[in-house]
Amino acid sequence: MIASTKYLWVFLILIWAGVFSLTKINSGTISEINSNREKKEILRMDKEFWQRNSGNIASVVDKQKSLYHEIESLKLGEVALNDNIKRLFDESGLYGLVIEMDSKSAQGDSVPVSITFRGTPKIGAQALRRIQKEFPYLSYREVGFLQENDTSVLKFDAVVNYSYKLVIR
Amino acid sequence: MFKKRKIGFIEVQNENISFVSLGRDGTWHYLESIPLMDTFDGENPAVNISEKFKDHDFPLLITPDFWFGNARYPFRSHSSKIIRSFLSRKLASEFPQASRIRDFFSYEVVKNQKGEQEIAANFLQEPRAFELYQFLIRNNIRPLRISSPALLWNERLKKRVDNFNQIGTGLIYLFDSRCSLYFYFRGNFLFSRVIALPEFQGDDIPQFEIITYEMNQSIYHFSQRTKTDLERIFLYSGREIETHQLSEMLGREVRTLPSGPERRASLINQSVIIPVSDPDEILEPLRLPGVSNREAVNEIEWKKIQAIGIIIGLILLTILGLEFSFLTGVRDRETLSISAAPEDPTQSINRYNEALDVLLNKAGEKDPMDIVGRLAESLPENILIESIAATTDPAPAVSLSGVIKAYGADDFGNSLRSLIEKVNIHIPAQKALNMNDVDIEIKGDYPEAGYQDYHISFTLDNL
Repeated sequence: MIASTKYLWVFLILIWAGVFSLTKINSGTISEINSNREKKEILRMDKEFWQRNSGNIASVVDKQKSLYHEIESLKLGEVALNDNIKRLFDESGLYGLVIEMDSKSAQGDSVPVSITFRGTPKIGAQALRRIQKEFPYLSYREVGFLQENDTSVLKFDAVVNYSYKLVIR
Repeated sequence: MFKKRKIGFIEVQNENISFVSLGRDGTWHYLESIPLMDTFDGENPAVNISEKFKDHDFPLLITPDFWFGNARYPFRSHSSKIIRSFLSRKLASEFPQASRIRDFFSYEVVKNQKGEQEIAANFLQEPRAFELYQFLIRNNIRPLRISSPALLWNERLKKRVDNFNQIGTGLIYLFDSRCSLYFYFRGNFLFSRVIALPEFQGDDIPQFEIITYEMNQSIYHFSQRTKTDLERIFLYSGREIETHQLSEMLGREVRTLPSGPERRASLINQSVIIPVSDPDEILEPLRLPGVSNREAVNEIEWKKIQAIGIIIGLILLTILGLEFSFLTGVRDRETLSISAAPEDPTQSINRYNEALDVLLNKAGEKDPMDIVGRLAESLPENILIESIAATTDPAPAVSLSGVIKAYGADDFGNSLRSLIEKVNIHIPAQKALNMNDVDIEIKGDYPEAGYQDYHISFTLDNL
């Protein structure tokens, strides 16, 4: 083969290698542009959604936040919980309140707490409802009423899950 | 790589190889001659011309007529593949001394006098031709066409002489002191002779005498080979010659060859006579009569493909390069606009989504207080509750224990049925509550009051 022919083959191969390489690079760049545009569009839609629903978003986030009691330690949380529930029971006519935290059965960010008290069915039920309403980080696992000694007084037994989040203040 | 090379031809004559180049002004330029012997020293010839002629292209090699042979073979097939294969074998067996004859032949499918198909083959039979070709290849020179003066004249005579394909024709080619005699029979070259003449001194007679003697010898030879007489003789010369004198001396009519569209032949450097009539012919050497090395022809074909491939490749490369530049600009602008976005609400929305998931899960959970409330709604008025317990851990379930005050079995039955019916409405479970799930115990009998206490208890699970 004459030398010039060899050079021409080499040149031809180099040109076509360049053609295929550029095709691949351009194809990659097109994908990148499409991906960027998609990202930009998602960002625009997110922004629009965020602007229109910022109030709802904040309330949902706050609501979710309220499902966890932000405490510095579990012991401190236990003290605060006792205090809060006792305050709720003050002057309610309910008595015999016992709050016990079962720290050994804690799972992740929640720990079971048993609440026992005595009182009339109506007031006792109201108290249970208030606990549920005012302390969203407490969720009932078990609820029981037991009539004691043929009186109108009931013994209320409840087990709640106390959800908490450890924070550093 | 794409530098335009000067084009030219190589002629082998008088044991010399002459290189001639076509100048930009359209005239021929004699470059150099080297002795033919110097090229025949195996792998190490005495001369090296690759550097000297690296800017030249010599697509045409003209060899002496006797380096060529011709033959006719009866053959029926029209397939070029079969014909080439046949000729390759036939020529190799008939000319064993011509080692590479297989690579240097050409053919034409013709009809003989009886109308039968024959193959008229031209081939290189001189062993030195192959050695010379190898020498040129080693020096980076590849002649695409190998021809001889007789073959070149054969082509021209076909165009200019009437009935050339049916009669015997002779040509006297006279140029100063050089003269060649060419003989053709029915359009094909038969043989040629080169004769040396005395220098022209103003009188044609001394040269004519020698030409007459040689022509008579050749005409006799022609008659013996063809069994016919030579019918026409033409003269072609570099100078004006009156043909009647030569006709008289020969005893046959000698005509001046009708001039063609080409330029007149000219002598270069006293050694080379221009072989091609038009310099442009050299640009398309494969159209000239002669033989070509198969490999060289293939290479030419590939060169065309290479050229097309390179042109298309370069066009695509340019387009793709422009596209690359455009796309890169667009991509950079897009990237910049994303990174320059003032605020990214994605994190807030992700937090919102997480919160929503948690709240939805929470909403989906069963609430024991809710279960107790539903159970309370289902209870009849004549029941005294002893205990109620609802749980969601590990699975939602509710249990009840109490006393129904009833006036007889029917009343109790109605109360219990009503209770079960309402429980099933308010607390849907996988398995509905039925009579058999309720434990019943008669607790107290009060005949004076007319009623009885029935203690009942049940547990409903899989809520």
